[in-house]
Formats: sequence, C-alpha cells, structure tokens
Amino acid sequence: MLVVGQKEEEEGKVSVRSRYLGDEGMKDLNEFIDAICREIRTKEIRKIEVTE
Amino acid sequence: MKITLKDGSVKEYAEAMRIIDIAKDISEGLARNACAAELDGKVVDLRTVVDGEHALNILTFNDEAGKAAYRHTTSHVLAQAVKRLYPEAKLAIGPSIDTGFYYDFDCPPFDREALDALEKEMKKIIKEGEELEYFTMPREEAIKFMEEKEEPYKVELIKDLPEDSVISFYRQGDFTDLCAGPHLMSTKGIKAIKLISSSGAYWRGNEKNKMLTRVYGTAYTKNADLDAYLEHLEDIKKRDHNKLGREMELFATVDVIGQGLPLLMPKGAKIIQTMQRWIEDEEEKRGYMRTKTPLMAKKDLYVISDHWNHYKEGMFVLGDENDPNAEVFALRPMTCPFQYYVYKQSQKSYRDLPCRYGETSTLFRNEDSGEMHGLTRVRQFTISEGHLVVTPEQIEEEFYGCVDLAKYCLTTLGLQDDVTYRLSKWDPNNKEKYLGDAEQWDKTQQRMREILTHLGIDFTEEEGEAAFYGPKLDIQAKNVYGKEDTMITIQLDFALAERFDMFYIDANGEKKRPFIIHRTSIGCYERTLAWLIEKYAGQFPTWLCPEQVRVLPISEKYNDYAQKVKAALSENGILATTDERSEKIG
Repeated sequence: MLVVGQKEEEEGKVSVRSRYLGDEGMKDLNEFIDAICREIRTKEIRKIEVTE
Repeated sequence: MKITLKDGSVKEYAEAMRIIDIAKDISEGLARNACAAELDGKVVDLRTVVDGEHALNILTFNDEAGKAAYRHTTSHVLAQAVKRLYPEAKLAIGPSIDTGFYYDFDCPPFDREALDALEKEMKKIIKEGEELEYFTMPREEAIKFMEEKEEPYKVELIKDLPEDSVISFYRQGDFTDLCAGPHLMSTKGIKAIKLISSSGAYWRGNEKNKMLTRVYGTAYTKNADLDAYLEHLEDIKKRDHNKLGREMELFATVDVIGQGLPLLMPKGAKIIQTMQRWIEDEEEKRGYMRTKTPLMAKKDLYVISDHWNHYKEGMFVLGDENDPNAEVFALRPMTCPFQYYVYKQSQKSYRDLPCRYGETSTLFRNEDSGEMHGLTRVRQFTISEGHLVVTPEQIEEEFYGCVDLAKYCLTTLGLQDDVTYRLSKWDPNNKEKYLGDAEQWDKTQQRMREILTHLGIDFTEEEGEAAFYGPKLDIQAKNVYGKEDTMITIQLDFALAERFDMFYIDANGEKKRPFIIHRTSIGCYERTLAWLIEKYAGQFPTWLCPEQVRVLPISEKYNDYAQKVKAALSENGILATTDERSEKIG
C-alpha cells in the first residue's frame, strides 16, 4: 500500500505500508519502484514480520 | 515369568500376570497413564495375561498405539452416550483415526446442539468411571447376543469374521460393544474430549447401502492440548482454498455450469496467467518446443493409444458409439498421442533427439459429481504438460532434467519442503490394467529407483499407482486437511512409442524405438493454485499477486498525484490500482 498526501506530493515520495514489515516510512518513488521491480523479477518470497 | 522392558531392565515374577498389574508393580504413575502395551512387538490390550519370557513395552498417550487406544475408548463412550439419549439408534463401526476417532450410527444426523448434549453425556459417563470389562463368546452365542440387543450391523460384522476368530466384547456399565480392542482400563482416565462434527457415510463405504450418521471427535490427556488442536482446526478452515479462494474472488463454481468446472475470476485468472508465462518461458530456456494440439480427437486415436481400453470410463465421449455410421470423438484426458503425431511429422535421426515438447494443455476427465472439490478435483483442468522423446542412452540425463525443473518450480513457489516423493509402480496382480510384461516393468522400475537414489531423493514406493504405460515419480503434497494428491509427475514410458510406431534412425542407419518421458513442470494450474492459497493463506509472494500495489490518496486533493504514482508503477510493469474513496486512513 502506498499512502500519498501533501508531504508525499511535495517531495515526490510515497508512504509505504507493507504486509511484510508494516509501516516502512516515506520513500522516494523511484527507489520504491526499483525495489519492488527487483522483488517481482527475482520472484522473492518475503517473510511476514508483522501481524495484521 | 520373565519380562524385558524397553530400557533393557528385566522383571521376574513367580506366576502369570496381567500387563496392567505388571505396570502397577513398576509404578503407580505408569499404571495410571497406561493405555495399551507392546508384547514382543505386537500391540495388545493391558488385560492380556503374560506368562513365559517376553519383551514388554507399556504404551501411554505419547505412543501412537496408546493414543489410538485412548481415543478408541472415547469412541465407545460416545456410542454409550448415543444409546442413552437415542435408544433407537443402531451402532455401526467406531475406530480411532490419526486425528481422533469417529463412530457411525444408523440414526438421523446431529446438529451442533445435539453434539453438545452428547458431549455432556460423555462427560457424565467418564465421571461414572466404569471399568471396561473384556469377555469373549463363541460365534453363535455372540450373534444371538447382538440380535437380542437389536444391533443388526454388529450381527453382520460378526458373521463376516473368519470362522476361527476370537469374538470379543468390552462392557462398561450399561453399554457393551463388539470390539477387538485394545482399550483403557476404565473410562475415568479420559480427560479432554470434543465432538467435532457430524456428517454422512455409507455403511461399508458402499453407496448402495444406507447412509449412516458419522460423528467425528477427538480426545487428549490435557485440556491445553485439546484447545491447541481446536485452534489449529480453526486455522485450517480459514486456509481451506475452497473457502478462502472463493472469498478472495479467485474462483467460483456455478451449479448450472456444473460441478468440477470452476470459473477462474479475474484475480485467479491473473495468477494463473503469471504462472503460465513464467513456466512457458522457463521451459523454452530448457530446450522445450511449444505445441498446441486439439482438445478432442476421434475414438480411433484413443484405440491406438489404448486409452480406449484402459481409460474409457474417465473420458467424455461425443457421439453414439453404438451407431456404426457415426463419427465418435472424445475430449482428451491426456495429451500424449497428440504430441507423438507432432514428432511423427518428419523422420528423426538420433541427432534430433532428445525432442522436448511442451504444451499448456487443457484436459478433461469424467468423474462423479460427488467427488468434485474446489480447484483440486475438477473435470476440466490445465496442466504444464510435456513429452520428451529420447534415445535409451539419454533417459537418465533427461529424467534428471525433468526432476531439476520440477524442483526449480517447487522452490520458486516456496513449496519444496511441503512435498514427498513416491515411486509409483504397477500392480503385478492386475496385469490386464497395464501394457508391457513383468520384465519390462521390473527393469524400468529398477531404472527409476537407481536414478532417484543417485539424485539423493528420499522416496516411498507404492504398488498400483503407475500409469498404464510405465512407472511414475509422483511428487505429492497434502492439503490443509492432510489429504494427499499428486502435484507434479514424471513418468517413464516404455510402451507407447511402439503403439504409435515412433522411431528414429541411429548412427548405423537403423530404425530404433525411442523412450518417452511424460512430465509436468508445475503440475495442474488449478491444483497448484489451491496449494498456494492454502500455503500462503492467500498472502501470495508479490510476483504472483494479481494486485501488487495499491495507491491511497488521503483525500481528493491528492487524487492527481495518486494517478501519477499509479501510472509510474504501471509503466514499470507493476500491477497497481488506486483507491480513491475519501475515507480516513488509520
């Protein structure tokens, strides 16, 4: 999940919430895209560290 | 009388004794926890009298056979409760099973309220703490005894026992049951019980017989263990792909379309598409050529392959077989013959082999509506199928290649630790079911055995599970309920090349018969999806998710930015959506 509001729009970032680590904080959009593309390309199986 | 215990210690007694009394002599605690015993390696009842020299092992709930006896006695307590509350009910069979026990009754089904009432009665019976008394009767007397009690199923069971059987009973207070045992000494030892569900079951498993009411239950020595098990059951139910897959809108079934014909909804179809693209590309990397062959063929094709002889009841036949003027077709249950004709379109030399053909193959198998289940037992399904036409010298290497591909698929999906390997052999007592003779079967099975051992694979062997044309390596997995099915299969075929007159020209210019390896890489897409749903409880690894990222603007003001973010994600091949409902985000 990527949450976007004022801060995110101003800085070109996204607030990342994943089912693996929960709240991952604000990230640069391009960095996020690179990371998730790699996760998809390598078919990574991540461990879920947080409970919902 | 001399007995040697498991720890090697020896006890001597002046006279013959019951095992339970030996246990009491060893310790009060042991006697209290004793459920059954192992006498010279054989499981026996605690009431058994021992004389002479023997090896003895007292079994408690922590031993499989001890646990089974504990739960078997509980099933008798259930039967006693049923007879008290429903005197008209007739008793059938009530064994222990790996998760607990069940008992079948000829009576109307029980709802949750009725089960709760029975549980209450069972607890009452346990409190009464009656001892279980073992006795035997000669055959005629036993039959009369059960007839007087008006228990027709028990009478039938006695009549079916071999002539020289010992016919034994166990009595606890007002209840007596025909039983071989072993059983606990009394009901008061049973601590934590639960009646889990009630369902239907045919007497003797035969649908021509009466439908009985089957009550499933379990028993533990500690309430904490029972609670943990019930929690586990709840978790299982939540992961059941048949429930979760529908809730997640991955698939649906519609009665008017038919049982065993699931509709893959957009999200489910997307997951399968992702897997399919991955597998097809991977197979290409490994030297497979793609084919796309018809879903049906004339009966003539299946006569050559001998499916018509070995497989007909499982096929959907189109047209009237009994009309000599009609063209009869059948929907395909397997792809083999089709790919063989692809091979046969041109003459092959040994230099062309191995020929690896792959197809994303839709197949049809006719089974009973009652057998259909979710995504795992269906009438139409699609598999990642392939056939390798190889020279005899290439068998080992190509077989390794197939196993390697299967392992790669399992590991990528995270399922490698959830499978077991089975060498499926023919049933030598049922030769007509198969092609080939004993020599071919033994030779090919031995070959497979050697390959598997060489690969360091831990496997079991089972008779009767082979294909009609050769032995298989079946990679098995269990669903959440512990039911096992085949996920991936790799088969050595020594028979069909002959039937289809497939050959290749060897280095000396001579015609030779190739061997054929049948295999799947990821197995059946529908079934594999079911396993993935249950393994990940729906939380698939990102690459498989039909929706990978969701963008949430915290208010309408940021919808444009959200759209921009989504566009950037989509451009990079990420499956993204936006959720523009202006609700507060926690």
